[in-house]
Amino acid sequence: MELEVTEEDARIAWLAALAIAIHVVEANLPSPLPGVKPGLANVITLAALHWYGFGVAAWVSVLRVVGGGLLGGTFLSPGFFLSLSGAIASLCMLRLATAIPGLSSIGYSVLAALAHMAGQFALAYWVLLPHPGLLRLLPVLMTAALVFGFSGGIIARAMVGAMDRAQA
Amino acid sequence: MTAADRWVVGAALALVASLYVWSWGGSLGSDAGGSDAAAGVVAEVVVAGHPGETIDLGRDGEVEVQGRMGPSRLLVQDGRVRFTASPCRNKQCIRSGWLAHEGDFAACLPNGVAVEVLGPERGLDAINY
Repeated sequence: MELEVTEEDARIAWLAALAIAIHVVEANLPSPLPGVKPGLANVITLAALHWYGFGVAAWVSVLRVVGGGLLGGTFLSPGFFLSLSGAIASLCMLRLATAIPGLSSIGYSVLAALAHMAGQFALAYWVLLPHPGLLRLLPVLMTAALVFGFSGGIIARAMVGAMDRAQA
Repeated sequence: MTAADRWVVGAALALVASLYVWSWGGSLGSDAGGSDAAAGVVAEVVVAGHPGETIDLGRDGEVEVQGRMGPSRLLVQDGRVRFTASPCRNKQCIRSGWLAHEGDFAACLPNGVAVEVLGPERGLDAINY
């Protein structure tokens, strides 16, 4: 039996491979706080959303979490589930955000980053570390998400802008 | 940046700012995890070989427990409990200090006396990954 590889499958694979490479590099950067990362791999998700729509972006994001987990040795660890819950939350947010007219990658990125952190935090608070003190950390984490979401959005918009111009 | 982007970033800034107010502004209590968690908590005192008895941490006072070697004294204050005296040699029980949170535990093994703070649900001791 031969599986037919559609053009979209190949696109998803390419984008996911890119995102996983960035994810693995980033996973090795030291972080001052657990859960705080620039999230540059999500630039690829945003680019996928811009060019090919939500379906491709969702595939790229989930494949990145699973593939990154396998390569980084964190597959099925608490860190992996934090990453997965963040990815699912940010995808839900992006799905809603595509209904807002006039958003560029910057707006999408900020919304997705905040949702990612919120999803991650919800899992951490309800399952992994249900301590009221953790709530004190939430504003700091959300500030980091806002800053990194904004800067990631600028990168994504510059990238898709440059590539759109090169194609034109 | 489009107009919609500016709107989103503005809303996000407002959300984060309100989180600071909500989380640090006092609506969660002045000491999250300290006094909050202590409300209505009891501690269980176990003396070797006997079923445990509970003491109410909401009422300040001293409790004397008869152990194998002699009396151990427990002090209850501000929803916490600690050993203040025990006839053992190393005084590890006293060095354990205040027990305030659910699951906190101290024991005087020579005297056979153990104290544990109870709560509605048993949490995890630690998570490491």
